[in-house]
Amino acid sequence: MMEHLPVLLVIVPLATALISPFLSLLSRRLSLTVIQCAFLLNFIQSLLALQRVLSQGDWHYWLGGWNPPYGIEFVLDGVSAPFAVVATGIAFLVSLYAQPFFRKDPTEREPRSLFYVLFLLMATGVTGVCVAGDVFTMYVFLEITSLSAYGLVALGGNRAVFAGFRYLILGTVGATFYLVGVGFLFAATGSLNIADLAALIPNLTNSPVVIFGLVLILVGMGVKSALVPLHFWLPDAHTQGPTPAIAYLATAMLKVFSYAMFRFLFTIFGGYTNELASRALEILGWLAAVSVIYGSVMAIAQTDFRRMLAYSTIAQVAYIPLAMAIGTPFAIAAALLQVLSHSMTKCLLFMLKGAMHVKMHTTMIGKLRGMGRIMPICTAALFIAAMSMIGLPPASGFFVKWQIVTEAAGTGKYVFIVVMILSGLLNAVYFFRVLENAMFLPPEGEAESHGSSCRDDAEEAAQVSPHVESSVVPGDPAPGFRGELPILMLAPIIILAVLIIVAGVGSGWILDNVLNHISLPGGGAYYG
Amino acid sequence: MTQDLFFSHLIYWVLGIMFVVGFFGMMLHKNLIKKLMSMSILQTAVILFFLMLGYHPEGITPILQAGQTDPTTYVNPLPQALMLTAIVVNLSTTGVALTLMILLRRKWGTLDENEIIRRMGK
Repeated sequence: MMEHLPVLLVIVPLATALISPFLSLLSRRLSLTVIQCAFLLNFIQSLLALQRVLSQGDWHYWLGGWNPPYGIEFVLDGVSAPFAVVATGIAFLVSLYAQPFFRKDPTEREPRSLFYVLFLLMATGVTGVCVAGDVFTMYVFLEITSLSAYGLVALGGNRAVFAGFRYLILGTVGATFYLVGVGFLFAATGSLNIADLAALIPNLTNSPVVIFGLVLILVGMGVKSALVPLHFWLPDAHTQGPTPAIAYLATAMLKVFSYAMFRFLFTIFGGYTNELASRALEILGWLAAVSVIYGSVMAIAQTDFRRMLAYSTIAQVAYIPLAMAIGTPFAIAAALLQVLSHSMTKCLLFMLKGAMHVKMHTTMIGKLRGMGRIMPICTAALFIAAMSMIGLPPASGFFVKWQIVTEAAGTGKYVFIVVMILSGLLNAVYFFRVLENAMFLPPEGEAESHGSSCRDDAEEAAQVSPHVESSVVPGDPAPGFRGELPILMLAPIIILAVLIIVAGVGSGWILDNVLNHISLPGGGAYYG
Repeated sequence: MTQDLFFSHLIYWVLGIMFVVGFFGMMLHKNLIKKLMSMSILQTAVILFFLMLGYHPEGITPILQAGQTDPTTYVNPLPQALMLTAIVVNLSTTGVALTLMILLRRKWGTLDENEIIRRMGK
């Protein structure tokens, strides 16, 4: 079994996606249990794969025993294995959260089984992109990811269908550009295997065919990863879609496209050892810098927490191309750390957004007053997430920024330092507004009854007289839902909040022991 | 000379025009069905482009035949195999798009983009 792990990483969610609708005909419970187990299994698999990559180096798996460049190859290396761990881990936590979410949230009545099938397919696509060893297989997995994403966004209701359709149109344009780009590279080299292309391409970068191919691929991936001039589909899609879906879409799934960019720019084109790739990286770095600032500024202008998160996603995802533009192995490690850190933070924030939906029926920032009384644990988690987004130690976001700033200083790219610091300040502006409302301002009409809705907060409960207990509180759903969230929703939130701190404190260990297998072309071995 | 360049690459010019027509159709049409049709044109252009990469004048089917040992006499089968997969991807995209369009039409009663936005704003 162990030697087939790379392919099993993809097969487990795929097979579960196909089986689960039939299982749910027999029993809903059984089907949900199988789905949860599949996500957990997938996570364990990726951990095992990472462990093997760390101990034995890159893992090449030939499908059907056909040797590359003729056969299809799956590759796990120092970049893709950690990426797969983050993606599957987030998927597992989101699947835990989604189960009670669809039961509790009065506004989202879409069938859960449909959500899970699409979600499993999306997880298949994401792990598939991680392991894909040739650019066409990568295209297929990218499209599996995107197609299920369109469906998932559209599950969010009537407005979401329109957002999903727009996303589909722009996503397809991106995918088509990518495919044409692959066609150009194929025309120039006659190969699709990444390792083979890496050997052939660097000698051909004067050819207009190759240049055009690279540009098309980068534009295609730029559309899909919402880099600034091509970002306009993201805010609507990420505002309207159902919360658990977006918790994965905005985190692991969105970064897959940056990962594809990394594969082309570094693995195939040779990064800064190649003149063409260096120019592309420089342009990419500037676009990423603009994205960071634009996303943060637009996030400040939003009054809806959901839209604020969507714009902040644009800013945070752009950290990855920004770190890539710095281009040292340590910066790539920082980009991977950002994948981990931002996936956890944004996933946590979207889960909290879902909690607001369920408990307070609103996501408008101005109406979050008193959240600290209703959901003290969630508000504490919100505080930790905000710390990570702003970049305050000991949350993991700080260490990402620190790493990127250090590397930017080391390579003389001082503009990126300014961008990083500015981004932290802008994040502080919009998150303090949320925190002020959620933590410090008393709830509206507090005197009558709001305190009673807080089961966990003994202090509050003591102040409330018994007769208030029975009155229905405005802004508080049916009486059964008072107090904190159900345990299955709360557990992923607490786990993520703790992990953000753990990953922050342990970031040195992660960089030294997990992300030290990044090999870039032209030497540049990892230095710690 | 220019005539030569044009006619020897005629198919690529046609494909380029198809690509541009499809792309701008997707971006500029306000009718969602026309957007979808443009998407099909765009995707077809890409499929034909790939098939052209494997095309070989007077090439034969890539099956080993007696006396045909020269690889250059065969059509390259790889792009064709790739495009079978790409056609499946395009088919699923079209399927998802049509499903979404049915939902849109049921809810908003129109497939005009501006009209939907206007009705959503109400």
